Amino acid sequence: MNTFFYATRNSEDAEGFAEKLLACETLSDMTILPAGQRLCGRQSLSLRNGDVMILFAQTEADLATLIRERDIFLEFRIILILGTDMQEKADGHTLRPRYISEVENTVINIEKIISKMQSHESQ
Amino acid sequence: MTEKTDKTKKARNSRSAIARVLIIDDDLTLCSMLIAQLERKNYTTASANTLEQGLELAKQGGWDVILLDVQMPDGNGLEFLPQFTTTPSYPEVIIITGHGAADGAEKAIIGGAWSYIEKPHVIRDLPLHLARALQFRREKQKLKVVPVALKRGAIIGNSAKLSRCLDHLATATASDINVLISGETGTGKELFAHALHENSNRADQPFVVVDCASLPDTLIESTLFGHVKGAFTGADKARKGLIQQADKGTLFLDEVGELPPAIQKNFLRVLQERKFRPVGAGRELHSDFRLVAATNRNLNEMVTAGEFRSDLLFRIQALTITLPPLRERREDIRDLVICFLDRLCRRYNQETKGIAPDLIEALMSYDWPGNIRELYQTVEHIFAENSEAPTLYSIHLPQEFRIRFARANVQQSNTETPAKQLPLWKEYKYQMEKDYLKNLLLHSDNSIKEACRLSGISRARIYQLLDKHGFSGRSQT
Repeated sequence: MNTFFYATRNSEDAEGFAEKLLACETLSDMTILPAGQRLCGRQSLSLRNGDVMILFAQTEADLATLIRERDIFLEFRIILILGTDMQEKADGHTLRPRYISEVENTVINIEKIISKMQSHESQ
Repeated sequence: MTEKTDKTKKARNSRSAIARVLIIDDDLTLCSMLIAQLERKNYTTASANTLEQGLELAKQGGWDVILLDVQMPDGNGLEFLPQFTTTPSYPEVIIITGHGAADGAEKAIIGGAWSYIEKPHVIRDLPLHLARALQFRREKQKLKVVPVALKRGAIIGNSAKLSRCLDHLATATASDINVLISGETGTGKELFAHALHENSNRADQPFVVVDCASLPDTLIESTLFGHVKGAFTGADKARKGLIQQADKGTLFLDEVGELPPAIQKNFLRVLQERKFRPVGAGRELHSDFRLVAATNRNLNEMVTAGEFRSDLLFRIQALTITLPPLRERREDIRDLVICFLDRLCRRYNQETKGIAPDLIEALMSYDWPGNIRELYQTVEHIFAENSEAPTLYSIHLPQEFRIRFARANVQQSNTETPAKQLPLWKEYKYQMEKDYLKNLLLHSDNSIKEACRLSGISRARIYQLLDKHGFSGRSQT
């Protein structure tokens, strides 16, 4: 099970968040997919059904874009990162995320969750 | 397993039998008494003394009613109830037990049994139960079945086993009962859970996933129940939990067997009262959600081992849908592969690829322990490694897969064919003849003269054979 990071558009916040994730031991080999390319670049060829996909949507418009394109994400285990005070947005559940967090939150919980997913998968 | 073979009775029964009743009980004396009682009243009967034998008979179909004992030598009859009620004739099941218990009776009825009789009264009470069950059955059969237009979402396949699961899904959408979806990893439990939501009257409301296997113990309580500001270190603002977010919608507990014991206890209360208390909160909140749970574990064994609460299991499995592993629905592999490949082609903006029959044949010969997920991953691998190929062949499969396939074929050819799999000689000879001709035409480049030379068959006979098998050859001297 591999981990990928995808944002609907390039932004400093998305890059900063991805960097924080990469600094975690469990996520050091995470692949950052090109923003806004709908998983159709060459890098996406290494995606496999059941991989972890961290989706970054800082604004409601970003979330709406992800929801519009949800068919390409639903085969992955989604962890959804939303902007401040967006965590309780019911729309986010359309993507069937395994966990929702906010951009300002610590990444420790995400690391713990992915680590647990990996150990459960290998059982 | 004994089917009554009294010729007189059987002839009379087959002409005018009221109904067919299957008795599954390890008490041989009781079986004989019931058979005698029922056949006197013109029922056709059969009996089985283990659950395994009973299931085998039930699957042959044609039964109107099954009398099922609870304490059987090879398991608890109640646990097999859904398997009996969904056998081909969808029989009514009457539970008979020597160990009457209110919980068992409730479980039996919720599980779909028609009624529940204690053994000491079975001879006396059975006729009435049977008559009512059969009256209900006759009326049910008279009703015109309205086909349900089920939104299948991404559920692919038309095999009998999958269709049966879709029938259960359709049944479940008609009510708001808790549903447990069981099946091995990768069988599509989440897809079924989502399809259940999409076809229910809660479809416009949230479908909220709780991944019980990946949430650490330290997070699960606040994630499920929410918390108030300051409830614990780091709780700098109040958060709604997933239970609250699922209000009016569906709460999907994936891998429910992984719920920690303390959370099982709290969640049981939520299920009973639909009320919960966020961490650190003084008052309870209400949430009107429908529960769908999924597991790849045997929750009954977990209950026996003390790892899962029996009262929680009882609550979550009002209806169980058991998804078959892919090896039991191989006929769906072709449709699945076509669908996956089409999805990948669309994602990468490529034209639709062809799929050679030998690829499907190779994929169908494997047991897929990782089920549909493993199949999809294999298709993804083939696609990624051969994205430019217009058609995918078995040669494109990963090397380890091809080695395994080749080895399995060798082992298979070394194994004697079981008698029941032997084809009729006529069919076998016909197929061999056809295959030989196909090869002959290939090697002779469709030249009849060359085909005669290679095979040693006369020209007239070759024409006869070509005609028989619908081939055409190049007639030349």
